[in-house]
Amino acid sequence: MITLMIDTSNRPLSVAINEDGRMVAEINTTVRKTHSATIMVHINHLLESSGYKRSDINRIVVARGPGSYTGVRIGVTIAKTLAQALGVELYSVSSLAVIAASSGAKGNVLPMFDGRRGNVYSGLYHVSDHFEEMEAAGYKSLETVYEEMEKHEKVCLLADGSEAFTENLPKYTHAVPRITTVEQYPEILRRENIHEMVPEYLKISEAEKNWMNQQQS
Amino acid sequence: MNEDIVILSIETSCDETACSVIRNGNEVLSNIVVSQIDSHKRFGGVVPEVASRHHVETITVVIEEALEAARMTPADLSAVAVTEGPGLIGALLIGINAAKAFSFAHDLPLIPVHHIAGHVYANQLDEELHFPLVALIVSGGHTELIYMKDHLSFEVIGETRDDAVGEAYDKVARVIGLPYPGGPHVDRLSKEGHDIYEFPRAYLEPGSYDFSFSGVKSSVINTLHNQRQKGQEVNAADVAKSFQESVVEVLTVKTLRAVKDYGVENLIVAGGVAANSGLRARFEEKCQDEGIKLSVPQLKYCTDNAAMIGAVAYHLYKKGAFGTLELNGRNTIDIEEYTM
Repeated sequence: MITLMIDTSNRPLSVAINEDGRMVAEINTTVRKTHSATIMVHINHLLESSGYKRSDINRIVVARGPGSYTGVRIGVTIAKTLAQALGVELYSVSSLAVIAASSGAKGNVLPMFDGRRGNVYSGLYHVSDHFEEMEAAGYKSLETVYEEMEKHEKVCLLADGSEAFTENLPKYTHAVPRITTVEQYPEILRRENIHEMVPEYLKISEAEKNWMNQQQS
Repeated sequence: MNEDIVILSIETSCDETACSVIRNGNEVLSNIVVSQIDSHKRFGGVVPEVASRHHVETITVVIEEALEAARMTPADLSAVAVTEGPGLIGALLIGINAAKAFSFAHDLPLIPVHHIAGHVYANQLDEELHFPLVALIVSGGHTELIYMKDHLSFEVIGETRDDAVGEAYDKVARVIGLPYPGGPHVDRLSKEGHDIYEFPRAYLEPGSYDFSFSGVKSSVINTLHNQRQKGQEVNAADVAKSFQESVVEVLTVKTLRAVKDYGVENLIVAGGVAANSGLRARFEEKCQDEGIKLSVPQLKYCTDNAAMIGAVAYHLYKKGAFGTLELNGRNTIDIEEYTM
């Protein structure tokens, strides 16, 4: 089975082709480049260099968020459209779980992305030969995250060290996505209905938040 | 051999998720438009982040529906076209990435299209374009006067220096208590009023074909504010009529002067505001007086749609003007870049 895998949820970009769960080819970048302009070029390059045709792809796995709203939407839009056009199955994976799997760390891991204004997107997982969610992914204040950490032993913080918010973090491990790794943990892959799939923002838009506040008052 | 050119086109530059299949640039086989207006109404205007979220929810659905309604399969297609800009960047990116993925999966050429060119070519869906022509594009996001001496030849001769005309309509609607989107409401209400306020007409410097609507908009807001402070009753219909008169006069006078100065006989008025009955009636009357051939696309092709993108793409296809997998959205693009 040939899987095409896509993660454009944050500044790093990760695309891979796996065959029966094993990596065939991957492109991971961490440069500040517009994913919209590069992603399809990378996918094309992956297929060409690995000798596969588009029609060889059996399924698509995409990081569904959280992350940069625009970034997540680019990956999800491409994954949905390719899955529909190629007539293949679509799976999604939490972008936080991608970091947890990519880091190679075992035990309790806490991946996080900058969520602005002192908040982060984070979840807490126990990773061994399988994947267990200990604290649900969400948009949280750093205080909440530290409280959650307290509840579990030996938690390894995972963050992209190039992000400014990491300056104020306690000791963390630098981690960026390698989407190829997630097929090691089938339990974190979720089958999606192509038309109905939406990104997992974990946060409503500011406009909707303000509107809801107005409705209540 | 005369082979049909069948194009699937996608448009997501603002708050409409649209996909169309069109044959030979003028035969619309399907025209699917999913409007987000009901969602944006609560905010009194289009919220870019919300628009982007809706686009990703519906993009694959509109593509599938457009193909089904046209009774076409991807194998029948010659190319995929998509709006490159101008528009809301996050919204554009959904259509662009979907178009790239679709064109890649089916090995079809990709054709980037300028949104305003789409509005001009919407007219091709009803009748052939006759050149040279002048086109006035009026909508919630755009107010442009374009001269075309032939297909794919765009010269911007005038544009708004501040608000788009539709934007001014929405703001005036809000101050007189009408719901969003305000254009149709102001237009309807204006029929019951009289131009008693004589709001300013911004002609700018002599010879200029540019527009400015922020002055008349502020004048409406200030006048109402003063009247309300004095406890005077405001007749919303008179405000609507007075505002509309100011806008319609400037748009028609400037456009018809451009038509005369450029020595053309064909005028296109398109974009969402072309549906305004006051504007249409004045153009019809003036054009008849002066022997100018006026073309206004059907309402469904005046508002944002993908068929109009496919109409331009037909000509771009014939010129081999294809984009690459690196195509990215642009929130502003000079339409003159599309001249070839």
